[in-house]
Amino acid sequence: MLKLSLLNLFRRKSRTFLSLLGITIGVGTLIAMVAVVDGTYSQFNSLIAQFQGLSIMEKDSANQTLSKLDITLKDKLENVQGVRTVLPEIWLMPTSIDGKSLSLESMTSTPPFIYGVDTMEYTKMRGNGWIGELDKGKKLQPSDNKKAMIGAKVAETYDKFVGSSIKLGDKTFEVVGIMKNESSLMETIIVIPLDDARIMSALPVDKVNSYYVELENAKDDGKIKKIIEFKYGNELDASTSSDYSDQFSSVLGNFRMVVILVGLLAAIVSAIGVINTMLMNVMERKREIGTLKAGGWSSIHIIKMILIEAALIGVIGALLGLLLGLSLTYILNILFGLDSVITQELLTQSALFAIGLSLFAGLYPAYRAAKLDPVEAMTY
Amino acid sequence: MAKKSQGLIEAIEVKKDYQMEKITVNALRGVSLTINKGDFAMIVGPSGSGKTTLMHILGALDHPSSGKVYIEGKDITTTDDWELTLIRRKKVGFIFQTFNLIPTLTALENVMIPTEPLKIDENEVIKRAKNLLKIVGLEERMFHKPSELSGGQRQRVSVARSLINDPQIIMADEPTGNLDSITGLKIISLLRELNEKEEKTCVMVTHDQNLLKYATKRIYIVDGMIARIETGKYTETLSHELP
Repeated sequence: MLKLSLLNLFRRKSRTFLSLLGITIGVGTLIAMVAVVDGTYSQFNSLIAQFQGLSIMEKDSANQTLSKLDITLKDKLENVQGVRTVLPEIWLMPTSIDGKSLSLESMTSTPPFIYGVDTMEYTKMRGNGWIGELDKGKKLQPSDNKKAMIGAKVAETYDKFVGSSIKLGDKTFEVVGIMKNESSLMETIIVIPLDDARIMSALPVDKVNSYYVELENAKDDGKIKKIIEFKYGNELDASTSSDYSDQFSSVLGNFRMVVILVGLLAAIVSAIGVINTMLMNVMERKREIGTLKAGGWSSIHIIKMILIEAALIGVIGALLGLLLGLSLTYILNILFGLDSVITQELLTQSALFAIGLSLFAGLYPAYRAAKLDPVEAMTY
Repeated sequence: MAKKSQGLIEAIEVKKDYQMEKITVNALRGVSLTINKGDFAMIVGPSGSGKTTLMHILGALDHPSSGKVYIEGKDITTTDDWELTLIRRKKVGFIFQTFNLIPTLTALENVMIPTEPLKIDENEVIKRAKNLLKIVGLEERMFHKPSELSGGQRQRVSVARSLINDPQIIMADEPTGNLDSITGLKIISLLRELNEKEEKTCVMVTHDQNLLKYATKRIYIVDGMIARIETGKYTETLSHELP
């Protein structure tokens, strides 16, 4: 019966091809979209994992670059019990690197960004904060100026090594260290001394964007966040890694849901294609189905034959969809510098979904075929 | 419900009505007849006389609107679709005017197709199908698809297909209708051979009066009613070596 179903399917090659195309594109894009979302999620999680303190921003500020905090806050925060180091931060986007504008690049991948830190405090830190681990060269020292530590991706993209110079806007910096980071989101970081960053940004002398607070004991983050917000809650917000994680998870969770819904919609459209193909197949083969019934085939056997055809569309569509999904993800990763993650679970679920959907789409045509009166079918 | 009956197939006062939009068509208007084991019966009549409808009912393909039909004493008018399927599967083989072969399958596979629902060893089925193709003279063409066969060859494949489940009854609906007269006679000759040598009971629908001489029973049907039934051995010997 399998052979018969397979042969039936390829009697009308172009029609079957179109149905397959529907399933393939549906499954392929679903895989690619979910992979991109999951990849971003896993990158963010590894970023959060290395973040072991509190991030302090201006109250109700949307992000670090828009936040402005007074420099005097540093002393106040240092006096909170349990706080080990307070790192003042300035965040900004370089207008150009080595004279090349970033506008196009920032559209297609995680763009390089400048992270200005108080080098004195940085050297006191036990952990790495947002920065990541030093791979080559040395860390920025308190007396350094016009020096930079750059992420591995920046080094690779701009062909930099320890000792190279890198031009950020109209300022030239000497590369002293190259960092590697678990999260590729941070591999485009360019760390420079706070004062150099302030000159490049429009911030006044008494302001920074934000603070990174390293704690004596990372587990106390919730407790210390409460103390800080109790004392200075009218001017700042403190976020723990789990705050970031929750926030990001909820945003990304919603986005993932939207992506899946779009995928489902595409799937429903392709299922309608399968129903159409199968119904046409059944109607065209009325006489044959009548003959099979006359020859002793029961309705169950007819249903089985049609459902096998539907399942075959599902299986072939799923396999092609997996190939498309993998290729799309690979291309997106290269084109946009993403780190999309395709899990075996995603592949299995997508494939099973496609097969299930095709089977479901085959139900009505199978029912119609089974209901055919052999006498009527043969006079067709 | 079993009934004592001499006939292999017995129809009593069979009526069949069709509803075509608002008009009721009385395709059969009280047909009674008996087909005995070993008969080579031909149902003959003009177009629209109800001969094909009668064959469908006698072959357990359709229910009558009223009346009774017995196959081997079993009342098939009160059985459900599933039982009719079983009767067709075991007892009846059908041959159609338009052959109704599956174009994607080879002759051999077409012959095997009715066995698909049965749990028979595939090698056994292949052996049986090959033997049947040999009987119908298509041994050399068994791996050809219908499109590669002539009309007569296709009909011979469908004869072989009708025999694959070893039914006692062969129902043929205008089996020569799409064939030229010589090829048609070859098919009749094949059916008669099956009737004589394999003891198959044949019920054939035709509108070709010239074929009647090959039947042992001739059922004339006009306007859904039997005009007359003639029985008797056929007198002409049909040569297998036709001109």
